Amino acid sequence: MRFPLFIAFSLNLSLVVQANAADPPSFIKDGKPLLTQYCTRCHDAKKQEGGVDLASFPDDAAATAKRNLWKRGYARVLAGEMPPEDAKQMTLADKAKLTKWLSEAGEYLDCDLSRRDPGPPPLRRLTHQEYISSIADFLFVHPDPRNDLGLPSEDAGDGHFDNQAAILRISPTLMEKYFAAADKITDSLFVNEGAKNRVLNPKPGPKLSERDAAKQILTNLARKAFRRPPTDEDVNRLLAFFDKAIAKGGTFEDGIRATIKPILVSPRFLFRVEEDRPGKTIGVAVDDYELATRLSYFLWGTTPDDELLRAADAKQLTDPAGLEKQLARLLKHGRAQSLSDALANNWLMMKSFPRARPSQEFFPTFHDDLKRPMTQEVRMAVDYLRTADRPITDLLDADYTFVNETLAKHYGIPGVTGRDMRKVEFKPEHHRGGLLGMGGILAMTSHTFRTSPTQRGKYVLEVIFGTPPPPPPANAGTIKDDDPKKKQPRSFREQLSQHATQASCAGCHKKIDPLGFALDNFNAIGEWRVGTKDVPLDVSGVLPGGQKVDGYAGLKAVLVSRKDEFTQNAIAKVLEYALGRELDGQDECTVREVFAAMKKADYKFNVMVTEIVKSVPFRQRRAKSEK
Amino acid sequence: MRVWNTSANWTAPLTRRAALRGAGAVLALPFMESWAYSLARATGAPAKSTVKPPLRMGIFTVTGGTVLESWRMKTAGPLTRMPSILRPLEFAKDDVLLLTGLSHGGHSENLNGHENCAFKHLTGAAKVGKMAGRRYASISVDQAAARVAGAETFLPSMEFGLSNHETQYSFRSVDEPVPYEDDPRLVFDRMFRGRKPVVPNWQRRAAAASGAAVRDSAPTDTYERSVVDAVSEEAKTLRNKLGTADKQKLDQYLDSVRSLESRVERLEARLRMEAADMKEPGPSKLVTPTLPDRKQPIHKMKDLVYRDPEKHAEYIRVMSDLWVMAFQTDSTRVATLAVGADDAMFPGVVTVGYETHCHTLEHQGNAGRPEDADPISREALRQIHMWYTSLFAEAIRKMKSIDEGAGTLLDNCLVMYSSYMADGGHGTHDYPILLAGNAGGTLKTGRQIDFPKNTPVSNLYVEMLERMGAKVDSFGESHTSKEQRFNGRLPGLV
Repeated sequence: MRFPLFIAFSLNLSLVVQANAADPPSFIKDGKPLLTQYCTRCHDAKKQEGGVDLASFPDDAAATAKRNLWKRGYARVLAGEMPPEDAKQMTLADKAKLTKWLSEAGEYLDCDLSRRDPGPPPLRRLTHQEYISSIADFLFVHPDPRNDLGLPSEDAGDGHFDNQAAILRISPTLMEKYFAAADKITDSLFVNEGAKNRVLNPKPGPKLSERDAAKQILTNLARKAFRRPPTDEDVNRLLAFFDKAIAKGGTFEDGIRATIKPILVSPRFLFRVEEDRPGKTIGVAVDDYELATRLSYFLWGTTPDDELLRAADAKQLTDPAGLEKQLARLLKHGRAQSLSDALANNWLMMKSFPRARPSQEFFPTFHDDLKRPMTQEVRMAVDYLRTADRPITDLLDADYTFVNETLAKHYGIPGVTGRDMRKVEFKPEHHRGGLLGMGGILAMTSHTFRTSPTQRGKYVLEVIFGTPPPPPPANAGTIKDDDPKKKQPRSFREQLSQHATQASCAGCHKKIDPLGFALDNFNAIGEWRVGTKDVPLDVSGVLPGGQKVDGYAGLKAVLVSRKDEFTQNAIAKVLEYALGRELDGQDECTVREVFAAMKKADYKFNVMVTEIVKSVPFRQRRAKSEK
Repeated sequence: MRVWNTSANWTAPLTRRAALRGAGAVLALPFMESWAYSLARATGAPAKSTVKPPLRMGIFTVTGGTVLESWRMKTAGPLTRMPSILRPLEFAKDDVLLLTGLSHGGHSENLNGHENCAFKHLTGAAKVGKMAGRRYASISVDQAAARVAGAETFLPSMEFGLSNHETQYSFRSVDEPVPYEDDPRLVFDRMFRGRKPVVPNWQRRAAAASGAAVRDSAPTDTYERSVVDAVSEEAKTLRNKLGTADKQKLDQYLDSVRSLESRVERLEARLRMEAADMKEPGPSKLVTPTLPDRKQPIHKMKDLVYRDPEKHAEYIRVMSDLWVMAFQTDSTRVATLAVGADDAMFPGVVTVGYETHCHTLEHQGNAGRPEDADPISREALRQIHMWYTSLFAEAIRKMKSIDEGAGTLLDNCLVMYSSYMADGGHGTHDYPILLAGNAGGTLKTGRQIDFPKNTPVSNLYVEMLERMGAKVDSFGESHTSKEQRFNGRLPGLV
């Protein structure tokens, strides 16, 4: 496939982003006194109730970097949930003052590049996927993390990326598994002749002593495992294992064998280490090897390849042209599918698809042969944005998708035979196009025997627009199937509306349900259906704000009219994945800047990836604090 | 194939650190014998009389709440005939204690109904929630028990069975959820990697300890230990180059390595003691779980479990066997088994109506109030819960049949059978709670006790922890709940 030329690369972010001209709200002067009086008895560094610490900000800058915290605080105080009933209550005047400050602190955004904070750069442990991909790249063995190594499952929950530093903890149990896994990996390496020969290179011979060969082998391995050239100290530490094995009467192979485990359980393999370094500005550029590592795990989900490490050796990555060249190479390569898959699995929630509820009792065709292409369709649709340089808005509406014979039949598209997935063009009578017409998404948001307009509407709000409705109160019931005392409702829709009359429910369901009902022409496994006299379908509705929506075609029109919101949400998600942390503070500036660039370039996916790589938080880390 | 990495003993000179550790071990009591040793001191002449094996704590928790009217008797008092869901336990009714009225209060933030119940289930936390995908509650009763009872065994605690992101029960601390192992083969490997299952001879162990306390010999210089030493040194050097927050993360790494180090030492002492038991094992026959074929991937196995109750029962049986075996072999003294899945299907188990998907049934047969529910779905749920109890009863039967020389395994256990929800409607009031085993004589069983509505479940956890040897001032919301009563305790259990 021909790969498009990249748009001109420019690191001078000349974009003018609207920044607040006003002075930043002062934490020390206005926020702190009130917080100290009413909040920090529970929310201080020591108690941190609910995980919230409102006391530990040395200065205004530290506090203004926590926009999310103040936004949440504003909502809680405004709603009267904080302070809680049993705590000291605020006077009305104080409450007004505090909510004003919280709202200002939550909204304040300084996008001036000279004061740009790249945000916290948390030390990141490898995810299990990154762990095995990296190992495959320097030991050439491919164990399965669950079945072969028994690593515990790492489920970040719906909509969250599993590479978030905050959830990648290390525990005694995990450490025990890493040690055991290292043994298993070593064993599998030494029974695999092909892999062994690639690792044991160079071989000792007349001109190369065993120890010198070992030294070269260990230097190569450590370079790939630690993602930078090892120091002498590193190599000597590993050589000591080699020497000890030889002293004990082991062979050359035994000697190398003894060095694998100390590499695989090293903190510098298991964590992506970046050095803390001082700087004159808030942010300081990461070095070439650190940038190579960020780039490689973002796009390929693995350790940097030889070419990328060589580029880092030559300090080409801190040069914009060099970075551009490597980025283009990596993004064009098949391995960048790792990024597409991460987005499909986490952002689009396809990792939950195996738990889709429709059952074969009610939908006999919902078997593995149909489920498989449903998953592939979503993944391929995302990857196509990259390989064909398509706009990300193709996910909202497109005239193509990817199917095999089974899925084509399911969709009523004729002329597709065989198990292989291929791209097909849609005609209007197929009623598809875009993510929400895909069987995988539609089945994942259904119940065992029926559709769930609520689940589907929630998916639209959460995944497409990034505005998830709050979870229902824990005591919320679900709709009851029949009630003899009441008139039997004619349709499921009437039934659902009967039960959303309570004000506490209706507030959210007014936003959620119309979006889901617009998709009700798709049954629980995504087959197209039309209403009948006995089972009528009503797919029309009114969104808050008065916008009318009717059926999938109508919904698509709504989505496309709101493509800017969608795109900004997509950028936020991809940035979150790239940085491995929740977005906060000035990250909003980055989202806006990337969005401005995409808008000029037809919303192209690759432009988004490129601009994220160029962004301040991707190329810099916070400079070492003075303390 | 030569196994270098796991068994090779290196004879190279001890590192300075290892030598220091060796010196330390002479001063400290060998941890492995300390149960018997302290027992020996307490009872005076343990060598001749029978001594009691240590108390173990087991939690067997199912999904989906229960159907309360079929779970409890109408009034408190001696258990005459077991209520229908508990009928499979009829044979053990003198060994069980039914508690009613216990509830969780607690606030929740950003959680759905299942998560809310699950996070509170074993923690009794006053606050549970999620922030940026990160889950928080407070330490759970099993992990708290492991802190006191975990030091003497091969593994401080074990957690296994079906538990996903929503049904997270155990927390090591506020924001450290403990993952559950769902693969029975890995559960087995965890206990018996480099170790053979043997039934402990508790009398012999006590006698051995009553003589001269066996000193832990200086640790040998093994490959495993040299790896631990090397990476610890590496981490310490690295630490200096990191920022404050990163240092904390690296400290987690160092702590984990250290705990592994003590595990390595523990294994050595353990193996010596078990080698002695091997010649003269305890009186019971070893429970031997039938592990599934190593070739079948776990996701395939689970897929079948969710669809087919026969496979599901097989899975629960092998997990229960491992649970019993963990106690029988004293691999751990705290083990939690999570059973069932809200998303499983129960064709065959459910004989009424057409729906067999548990979660759908939970919602239709919903709620603490039977009058709100669809009666057919409610009956289906009753059948599912009776099915769970029949599998739990099999495990209890095994524990009752294991003679430990002084009482049965069940006698020496404190078992809790419960569910993470009180009912299928995400209820947190009036949990189904049954205790089995008399906890070494500290529970008077064969009864149902009714506590006032809304008494915190946390009060029960205080009672359980104290029996496990912990000094507890409070736990969960035992002393902070609006419904706080009995000074955070449960009167009348003895």
